[in-house]
Amino acid sequence: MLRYTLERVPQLVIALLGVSALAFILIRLSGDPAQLMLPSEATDAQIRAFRHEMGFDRPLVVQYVDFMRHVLYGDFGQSLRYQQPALSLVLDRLPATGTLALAAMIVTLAVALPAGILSAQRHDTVWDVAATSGALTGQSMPVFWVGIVLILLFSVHWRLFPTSGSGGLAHLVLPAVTLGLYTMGRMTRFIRSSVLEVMHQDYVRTARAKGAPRRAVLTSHILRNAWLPILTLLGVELGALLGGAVITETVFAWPGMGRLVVTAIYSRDYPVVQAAVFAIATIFIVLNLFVDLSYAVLDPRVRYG
Amino acid sequence: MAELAAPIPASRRRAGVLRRPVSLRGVLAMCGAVVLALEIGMAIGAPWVAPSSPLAQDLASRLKPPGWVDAAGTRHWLGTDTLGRDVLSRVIFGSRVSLVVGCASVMISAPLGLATGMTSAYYGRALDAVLMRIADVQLAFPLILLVIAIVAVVGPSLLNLILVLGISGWVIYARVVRSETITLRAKEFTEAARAQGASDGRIIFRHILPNTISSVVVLATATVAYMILLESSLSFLGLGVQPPTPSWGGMVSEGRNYVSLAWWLSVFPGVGIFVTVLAVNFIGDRMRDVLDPHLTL
Repeated sequence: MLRYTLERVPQLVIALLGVSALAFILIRLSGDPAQLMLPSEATDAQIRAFRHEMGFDRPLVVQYVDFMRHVLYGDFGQSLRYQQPALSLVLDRLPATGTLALAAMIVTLAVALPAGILSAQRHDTVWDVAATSGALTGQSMPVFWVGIVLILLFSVHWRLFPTSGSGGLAHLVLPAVTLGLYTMGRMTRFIRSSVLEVMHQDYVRTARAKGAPRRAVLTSHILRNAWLPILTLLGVELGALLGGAVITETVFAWPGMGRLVVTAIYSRDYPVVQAAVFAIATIFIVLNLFVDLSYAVLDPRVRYG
Repeated sequence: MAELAAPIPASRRRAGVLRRPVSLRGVLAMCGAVVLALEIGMAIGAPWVAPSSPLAQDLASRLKPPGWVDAAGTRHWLGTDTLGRDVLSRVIFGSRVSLVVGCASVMISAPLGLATGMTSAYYGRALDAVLMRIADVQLAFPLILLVIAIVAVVGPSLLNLILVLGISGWVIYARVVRSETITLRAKEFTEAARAQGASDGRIIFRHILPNTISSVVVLATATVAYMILLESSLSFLGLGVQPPTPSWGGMVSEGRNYVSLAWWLSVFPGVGIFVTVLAVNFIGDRMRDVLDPHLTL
């Protein structure tokens, strides 16, 4: 287990280095970051002064080394809009985004698990087609539109939930359903194919031939084995939910990282954009590491393979 | 006894409950193809199909509901927007952006990923390690966040959208093609070709490429749907094609502040996105069943 963990660490470091390099390259894609960060009416003298102040006039390699040195200390510079450290601004909003992503994942699993299992157990029947087509329908709806339609129906028309903002559980319902809908479709289809694959294994046939009860076959033989790939996708999807939160938080004015990124993009606050991109990617990488490690805990073949 | 032992004909075994859903999926895919063909026709013939210009403003006819008839006797089937423009005409013209971005970006990402995955697997070693680490780094980002950040920096335009979505979408193709190429490289027919003195190029183009195409086609169909969703999300955030050019995501965004007053502004363009993506997904689902049933999407 220790060996497996140690093997994964260099990959984690490479990925984090790549992510920081991408965050560095990001604001240099347009050519001149000083011009990008300053308002369009800034004079040449102001641009020159800003370029010098931020160190953009130094060689690129020097800038990158300096950037990496600061990143190691979690320093992405000051937010141009809020005049606060960019990373702390991003991290302050992490709990709100985490809560939303977690709630969306709960909604997703509550629907996808039963639907996926039912679809696999009754595969090639009308139930199966209904579940997979329903999943495809969920995957085909744009998140922002679902959010608006839900607001229109449940907030404006029936007045069951608040239209936006954060607070109690009622504020969480519509954003969580909106965010979870796409993942719900993907998970349903993936759970179906995982369960279906295990259902055709010899040990399941043996268990059935021995006369094991249906429920026991499902829980002890099928789900226990099908769960492992599902867990992997769960990690990937949780990361995707963090990305998807950018749209959902904008629609519902949810005070999380996603909304901060969008606001920062509009106000050309690039230190915040860099910090947020780095933070979300890091969470995504670490999350996947944990999933891989839990995979090794749950499946001895991974540990000793 | 002989009667009991006689095998059940295949046609009878496949009849009934087992057969119905398979054909149902085919029907759904056929419906998807018809809808998509109609949409493509509508997008190409937009100037003739749309009842009016998507940019024509009439401030006296602002925010009129679906079915409203103006003073000139023109019926606005999907209502009018905040500047009195005909929503149906804008929805028809808006389909162009979604379809063009969805298809063009896949035309970039599929060959890019195919070439990368095949080269990476065929030549292996250092090249494979470098390319796959780059893929790992890109996979460390939720794609939507990466795309939003890049478009925000390079600036929103139709060409930038296509390029950014196209270039960012290579990873999934590269991964799938790489794993298939590794398997194909070790197959007997590849070994036989090599033993006959075939060049790398010949082996790649004559023996490996044809065997990976079906997976790429299935992936490409699924990716078109995803790219349309991404494009509409970017347009919704104001990072897509800029106004006054109509795009579905941009129209939903414009209408969201009037959702209680004029629901049709947001609902109809969203239906456009939904129907298009659903049609593509139904086709993709069927293609996966037929061409590559083992591919997990």
